[in-house]
Amino acid sequence: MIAVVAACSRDKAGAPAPAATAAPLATKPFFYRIDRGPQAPCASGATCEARVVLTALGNYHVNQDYPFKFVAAPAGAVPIEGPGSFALDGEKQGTMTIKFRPPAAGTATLVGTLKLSVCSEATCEIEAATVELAIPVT
Amino acid sequence: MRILTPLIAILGLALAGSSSLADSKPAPSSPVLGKPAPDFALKDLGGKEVKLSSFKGKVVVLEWFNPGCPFVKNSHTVGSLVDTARRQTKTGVVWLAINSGAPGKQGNELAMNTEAAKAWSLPHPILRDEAGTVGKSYGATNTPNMFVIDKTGTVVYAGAIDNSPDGEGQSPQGGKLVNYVDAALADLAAGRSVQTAVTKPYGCGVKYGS
Repeated sequence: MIAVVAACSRDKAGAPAPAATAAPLATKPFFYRIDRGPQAPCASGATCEARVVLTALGNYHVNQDYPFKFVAAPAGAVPIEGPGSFALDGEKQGTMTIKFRPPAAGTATLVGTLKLSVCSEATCEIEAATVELAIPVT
Repeated sequence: MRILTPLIAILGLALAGSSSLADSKPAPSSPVLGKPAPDFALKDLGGKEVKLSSFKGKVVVLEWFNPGCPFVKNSHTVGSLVDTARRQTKTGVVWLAINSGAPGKQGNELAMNTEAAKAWSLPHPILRDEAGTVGKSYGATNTPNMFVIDKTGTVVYAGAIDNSPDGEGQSPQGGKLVNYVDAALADLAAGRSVQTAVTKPYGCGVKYGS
């Protein structure tokens, strides 16, 4: 998974392009896409980290002043610790790291909403993208 | 060499200075803070002229406005601008929204402004500054961008409406929501200087024509 992210190419606008082979977790054409980030090993009962990568598309850039956060779905089975932390990886990309504690081995499914903002010269957009991530747990 | 040595030293200092500046975020500032508020005469949505100078002796709040900006929408529907103007105008404060969007830019259309004023039950006029001269004279950069003018006509607050840059009041920096305009007006009402006089505004950029 790390190799996929590290090997990303760039689109015409200079943005790091998401992994070409993987379907995005969420996308709004011409505005942004959200992809799965590199996943470290995760053990049941331990605090694990999941990462999602936001990429602004076309003329848009990531709004660096926006308080990005991940809001877990109320019915989510996996407890999530806090709203996540967002780090910019340049003008066009940022990574949201979500901490969670899986109760059992198997697959932990994180479900929630990524609150995000991207802007162009003409306008800003605030979006709430539904994200679902399946994480293998040992 | 006599000439070169001090030149190299100056160049080194300049480079060191620029490096440290680049590493730290600049403190928020405003070109009009502490200065007389630039006067203006603008027309409201009905075509009636409104002059700032006609409110001499009153406390005035200016709100840079764009109904197409999602931060403005959030602020007026769930955030700090839902009722601040209504509460403050009841105490005698004058509240003026100003749209400095140029023709053809987001949020400039008359109908869109009229609809927003109705939908959000705005108790104050929206003034049109299509040339952007008033916005630029105040250094307005964002929507919303707030300015508070005291009874002497001096700008005593410039910046954001609050410390929650999502516009929803749901992500306050430091954990506690602070409405900076309410705080500035409370300071003025108490006869003291404004404690937080300048903050960094958030939201959309003002859609100036050039």
